[in-house]
Amino acid sequence: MSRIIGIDLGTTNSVVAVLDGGMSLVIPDHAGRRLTPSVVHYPTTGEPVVGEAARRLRMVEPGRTLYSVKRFMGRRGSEIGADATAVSYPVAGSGDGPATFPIDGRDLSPEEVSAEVLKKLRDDAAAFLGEAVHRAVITVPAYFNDAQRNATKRAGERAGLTVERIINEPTAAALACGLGQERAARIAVFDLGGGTFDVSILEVKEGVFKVLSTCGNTHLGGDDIDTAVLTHLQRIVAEQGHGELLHQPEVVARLRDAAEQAKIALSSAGQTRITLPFLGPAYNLDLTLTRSELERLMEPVVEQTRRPCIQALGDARLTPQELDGVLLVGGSSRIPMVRRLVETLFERTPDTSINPDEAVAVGAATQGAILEGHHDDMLLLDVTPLSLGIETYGGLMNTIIPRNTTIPTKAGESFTTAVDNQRSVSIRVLQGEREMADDNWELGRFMLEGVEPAPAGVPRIGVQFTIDADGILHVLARDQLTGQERIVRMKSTVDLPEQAVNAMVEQSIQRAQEDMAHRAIVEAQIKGKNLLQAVELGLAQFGDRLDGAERERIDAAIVTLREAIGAGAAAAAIHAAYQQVDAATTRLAGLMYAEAVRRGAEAEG
Amino acid sequence: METLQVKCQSCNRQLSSFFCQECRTVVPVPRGVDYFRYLGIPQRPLVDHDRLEATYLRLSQEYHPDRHPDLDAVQRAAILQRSALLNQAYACLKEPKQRVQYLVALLTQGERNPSRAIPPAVATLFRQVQTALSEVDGYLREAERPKSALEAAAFALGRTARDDHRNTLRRCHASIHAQQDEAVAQLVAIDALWDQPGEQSEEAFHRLAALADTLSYLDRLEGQVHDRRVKLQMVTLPLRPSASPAPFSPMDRA
Repeated sequence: MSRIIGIDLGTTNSVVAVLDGGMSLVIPDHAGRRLTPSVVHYPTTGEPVVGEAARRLRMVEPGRTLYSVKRFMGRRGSEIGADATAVSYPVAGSGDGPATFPIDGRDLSPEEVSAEVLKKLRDDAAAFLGEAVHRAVITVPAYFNDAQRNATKRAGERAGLTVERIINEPTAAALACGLGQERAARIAVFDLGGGTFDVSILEVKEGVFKVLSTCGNTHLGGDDIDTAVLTHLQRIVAEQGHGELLHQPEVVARLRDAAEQAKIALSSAGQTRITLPFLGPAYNLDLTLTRSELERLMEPVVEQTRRPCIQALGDARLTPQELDGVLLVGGSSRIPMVRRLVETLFERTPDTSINPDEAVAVGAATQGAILEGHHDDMLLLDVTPLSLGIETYGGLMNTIIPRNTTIPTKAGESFTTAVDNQRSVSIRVLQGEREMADDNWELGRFMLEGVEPAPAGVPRIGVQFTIDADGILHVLARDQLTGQERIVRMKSTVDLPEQAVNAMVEQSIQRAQEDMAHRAIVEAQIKGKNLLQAVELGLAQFGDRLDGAERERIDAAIVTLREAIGAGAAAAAIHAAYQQVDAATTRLAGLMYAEAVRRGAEAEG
Repeated sequence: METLQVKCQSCNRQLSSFFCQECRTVVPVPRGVDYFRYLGIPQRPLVDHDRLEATYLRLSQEYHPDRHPDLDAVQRAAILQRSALLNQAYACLKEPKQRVQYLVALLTQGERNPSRAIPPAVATLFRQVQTALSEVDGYLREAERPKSALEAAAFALGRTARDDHRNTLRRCHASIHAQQDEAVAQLVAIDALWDQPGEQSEEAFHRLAALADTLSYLDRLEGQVHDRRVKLQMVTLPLRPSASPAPFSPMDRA
């Protein structure tokens, strides 16, 4: 049997590794590069170009060069919104249909594109090892849902690989650094990559790696920082009178590349110069970006890692002091601002001893070795990141397997009928943490058919939900009468027939329009009232610090807003009055904010 | 000491798990095997945690699919079920609430419905916690709401509110923990009566059933308080003058 390789299929870069005689080995490509850009270029004729060569082509032909495809894995058309506008290639898909990339009349799927990257890694590994390679362990973000995991597995199969296991990236990183570690420890893994963020808390004891909790955001990473810098550069180009250039995809691609380079440079330097000659005819972009400017731009992105960390610690029922270490993984964890946040959140200096780009692939290779029967002293016990549930009466989510349950796991549920002689029961399966079914992610629906005619509530159909070691769900229905078991085919809404999708979309648009006008007014009224309350508080405490004219302006704006709310005016009118109040109170807000900061410093000191 | 004893169906060997290493086959679990028997630990209110943990780790090594990449599809599906059941059983038995509920259900064949009424023992605590939760939830809703610059400033000005809520929740937690400790003490007492003959064991069962309801309430309250404490931690207020302004959500983004 051939060896099992470990693959970190990343948003920006991918890495392949293998364990050779107990030593981990990151496999370089023919040019000696250890990181393969997850970029695929589709030329008009001939085979797709993958990796570094494709990355360079992105600047020349942005419309046919696909990158950050991982963001679209297992996603529906309706979910792609902001991601689709952030990339320079076309993205199609609507409603519940899958996201695709239309190029030359072909609809490429994210799996298909990822398979090209995987194929290249497989071939690089085969060339390096001098033997055929057809088995792999592939990593996914811990916070990936069922569809995203399935899509990754299918991508591996399309690349001609037997996917022996799907494992979570932070867990893999822990495995990589835990090789040969003897003493018991509790560690947090903070993994901020190109497009995804995970945080996992693990307990390592006698070779058993037990994940206690995990949390994250599958749409947060270095890409978003690049986009923030790109927006800044675009603003400057427009200010310098060359806004028309921004309609050219090649220009935007060059700006994005410059943004990324600047971000990387500013992890070690205090400032960096961005020069893009001939961005337009007779126009060169030349400017200096400082680290503090960059930090101002990326703060909203970095700040989003805070909540998942607090949640993961809370779910593990641990305080930062109870941890033995924090491991940094992912290219974006090199950013000083990120490290500062980690330090504050976990109250310790993070461990930067492992290579943040390679640890995940090495961990995957380690898992491969475990599956080959080496390392029988090591065992990985991972968890399911999201609660699994079914929709119940009143559109509520009924959790049957809570998040952070050790996998493999299973849960049984018994279903019955609602009306007399009902022959089939429809069940909606969900993943997520929200109370309302509709707020969670719909994994799929299935029908239990062939129910014997009986009064409502009499039939009993047992359904067993099993989550396997890859974190993927399997459903088994058991007829209570005959005791027969059968595997239920879950209809993932990602592959519903197009007609059904269109009908669903139409229905929802119709209903939405009816409610929208009324809801907009109510929402605007509530917002207005909230603002008025805050202004009153501010005036009561700081009114004496405002001069007469300013006070008059505020008072006048308040009267207008109050009247607009009281008279039941249109949402737009309330909105306009709201903005007047907002504008008139800028200085007041500043005063209040300064006071809040002062009190904060007092409370801290 | 009671341990797991299984007989391999094909080679008749005495095994200590439902997998025969010799034949490389998964042994069927007989009907009526409960979580206790599945793990080979005594069926009673108290468990020896070290032993439970050790058994769990040993059986994980036996059943985990990572240990059996060589099995065929049928055997592989079977070992997945063993492993899933192991995790399920362990998760149930290690926590007092789940364990006691499970044991009561087992002994009554699921006939006893948990009481809907609030057990008198937790009535006062229940009111204390619900009052605190509704106050904290109001604060959290306010914190979550998209705000204009002025509103964010006004919210930040009331910074002591967050500390007040924290302290309230801390007090709730302390009260809950005190009652949970008391419940565990009762569990120890019940466990001591468990092997006694006749009336005493009858009494032990009734006390256990009552305790199941109390534990269930305490567990739910504890979970709610814990959840709000985590959420409060997520509320960020400006701390240092050097810190950039709180994340304002502009009106038109909402």
